[in-house]
Amino acid sequence: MAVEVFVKMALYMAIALVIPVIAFFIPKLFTPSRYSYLKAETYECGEIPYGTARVQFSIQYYTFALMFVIFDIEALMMFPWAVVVKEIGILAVIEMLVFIGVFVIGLIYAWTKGALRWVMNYPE
Amino acid sequence: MSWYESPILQPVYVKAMEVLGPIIGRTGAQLLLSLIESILIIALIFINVLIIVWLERKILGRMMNRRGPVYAGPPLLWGLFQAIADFLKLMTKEFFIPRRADRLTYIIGPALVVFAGLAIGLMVPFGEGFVGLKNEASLIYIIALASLEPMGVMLCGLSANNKFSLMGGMRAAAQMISYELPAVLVLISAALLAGSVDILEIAESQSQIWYVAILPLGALLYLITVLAELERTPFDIPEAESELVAGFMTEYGGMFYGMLMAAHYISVFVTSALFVAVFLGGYGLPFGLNAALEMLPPALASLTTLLIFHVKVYIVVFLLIWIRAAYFRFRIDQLLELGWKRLFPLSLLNLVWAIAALGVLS
Repeated sequence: MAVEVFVKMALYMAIALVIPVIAFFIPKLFTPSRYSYLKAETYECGEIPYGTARVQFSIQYYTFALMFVIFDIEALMMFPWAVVVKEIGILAVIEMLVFIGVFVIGLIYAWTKGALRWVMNYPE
Repeated sequence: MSWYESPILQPVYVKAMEVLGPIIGRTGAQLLLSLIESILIIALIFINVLIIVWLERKILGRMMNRRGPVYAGPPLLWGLFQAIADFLKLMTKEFFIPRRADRLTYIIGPALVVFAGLAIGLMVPFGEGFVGLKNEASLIYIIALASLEPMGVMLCGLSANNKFSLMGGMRAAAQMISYELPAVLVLISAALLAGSVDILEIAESQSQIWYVAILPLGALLYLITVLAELERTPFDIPEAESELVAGFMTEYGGMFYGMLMAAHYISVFVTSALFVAVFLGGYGLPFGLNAALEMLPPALASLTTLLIFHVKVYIVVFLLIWIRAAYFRFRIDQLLELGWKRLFPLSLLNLVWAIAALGVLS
């Protein structure tokens, strides 16, 4: 039974992955292809591109990203809880309220520290 | 569980097994039928994509007081074939990869975006029996694949070696970290009420009352996160056409562009379907009216549930198009702050609300 599920999932996923790749290469069969140096150039508003885009790019939101990882893992903990809470009852509810309390304290701490700002140390 | 368990396809399945079984063996026949079923699911999704593309152009046109697509297609449904015409036009465009782009990731990026949207369709309950695969953890499968899509968008942005693409891809990542946490928490609150993380059981547990009535705040929050997840108008930041040319799609043309657009509408359909399944009762009717469906012949009842599901999905799609016609675009830092300072605390509140609702209901 379990094997059938995975076989079916793998089959479906393989088809879902193959369909777009086939679609990309269909035009290659019958469309004209005239390569030119300028046509293959990167688009930059009609100018000759200035340098490359493989640069060290400042993503301003890295504190958000760090917090996202932490909180997302915590959210993952809630899935098993959501399934069994009806069986365990009030004890599970109290535990989860404590857990959400920890969540909120963490969020308030990050908020007051200014981690929830697009650019840190910059006046709003 | 598969589509072959629906009363319509059940006889077909039995007959096919009888005919094919002796020729290629039982396992071979099952594999072949699963293959056909996968193609059926993907075909259903693509038909809906064509309809949604047309609907969006037509409704947006009407809302802007112009006529939208008019000529392509049969009389009385003018413009219905506009999407097919667009698709055929994109088919005839040159296959082309920019010289500076990284060739492998340039192809993998859009393929991953399309794959993520299509793969979700396997576990979405489209109607009674029309579930590709029933699984105890299908909600987790769906969340995992839904967050794979921004990865594909990021790959598109990074591979093209274009500054606009790079910014678009980075913005897609920023968008994901701002909406995903509220979305997951809202889905947990629905799973809590149903006592299951199976999307089918969540849908079926709403036979008396839809969760949109129990969790109005959750439904609203989820609608907002859906808009962010789909990169649609209040949050169409990664492709912001007035700032970033076309964002992560700048360097894509021809069929690549066509598949990226298709992927967007696949996501629109699948995510609306998810919204329907979680908050609007899936393919069923509220207040125990499903009993009325059982009086019909099984095949007809199954088709009716399929129809009900699609009606609900198109109501959600209409809402999304309406929002696109009515609203402006957020700035990226505004979206991040909206996600973390408003949606996240509210989704925790919604979770506490769901716990209280569970206490009251049971």
